[in-house]
Amino acid sequence: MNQILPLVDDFLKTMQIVLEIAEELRVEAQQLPSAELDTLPRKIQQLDDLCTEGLKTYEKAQDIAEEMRDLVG
Amino acid sequence: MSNHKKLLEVIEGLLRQTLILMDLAESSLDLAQNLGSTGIGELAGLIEQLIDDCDLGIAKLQDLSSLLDETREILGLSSGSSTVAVPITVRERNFSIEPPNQPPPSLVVDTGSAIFSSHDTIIPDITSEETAALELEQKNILGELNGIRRSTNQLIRPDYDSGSGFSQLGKSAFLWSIKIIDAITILTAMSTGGLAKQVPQVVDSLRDIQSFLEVLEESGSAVRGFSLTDASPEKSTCVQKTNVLEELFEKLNAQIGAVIEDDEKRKKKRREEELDKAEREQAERDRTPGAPS
Repeated sequence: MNQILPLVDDFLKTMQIVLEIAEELRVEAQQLPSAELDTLPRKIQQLDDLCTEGLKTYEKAQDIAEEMRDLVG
Repeated sequence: MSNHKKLLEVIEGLLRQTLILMDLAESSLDLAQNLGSTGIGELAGLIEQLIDDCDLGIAKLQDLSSLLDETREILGLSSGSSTVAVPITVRERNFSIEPPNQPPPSLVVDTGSAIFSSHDTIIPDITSEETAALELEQKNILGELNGIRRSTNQLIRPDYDSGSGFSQLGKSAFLWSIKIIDAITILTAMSTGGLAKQVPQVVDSLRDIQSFLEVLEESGSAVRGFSLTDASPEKSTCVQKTNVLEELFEKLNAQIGAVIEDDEKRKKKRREEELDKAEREQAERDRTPGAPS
């Protein structure tokens, strides 16, 4: 059980980052309807970058959870 | 379908997906926080669930990415390019879930022709207080469902005699609660997204939710009836939570019913007022010599 606690902590921190990215995605997406036309490409790229970052972070969280599963057996 | 309408739909989809993503992440955080205090026998199940939730989250992010590609396509943008082929300006405004005390947002797309024929048609007859109350109830339900998910997860333990059928029930209830959480999350995003967008379809969405809740009540009663045959602490918690959930469903159902009823009354009143106005105008025209009838 002691071995798993640092992993749980790591998972929580990673998932907190996922949550922050999701929140940022929501805020950015909300701004799209009021965006000026010439800023749209940049805004969409920004959302795309956030998605990529979110994917990487989620995959990291999944790796940690899988590590926990291996430990528990 | 016009490009601007498509664009707004895609943006609405983006918002829905981000809301679901946030709910998933919050749910995983909630689960992970309980890992430290979970018995070794239940750990495996919870961790498996975290992995599954991560799978779902990753899928949602991939959906978001596809939606962004779709947005680019609608706008005539190649990936990373600044070329814009569609001459539209989306001017307004709040596509967000507004705090309840804000006036209803209006949606104006400056394209030379409005998406909807008149401003009136995009304002649903639902007050901000009603919206806030519905959102609060939906949040309460989500909280209770997460509680049920944790309780039912504890039922899936190897030390339960699978021959008694209870282990199987635990698994079914667990899967049942996961499915409901997903469905309610989607419905919440759908209805709040709809309310934020101020479209007339909100009432239809609420009707759908109402029908869905009736089905849930039946399922909840079935699980409760089965659980009552035994009295372990976990089962008792599950029963208690199902009772609370049922009360919440009932309350939400009543609220939705009231909103729909009020909406119909208000629409009827408005129709009557419009008819009266038309009659008055006709009478006025009849009194004016030479006016077209």
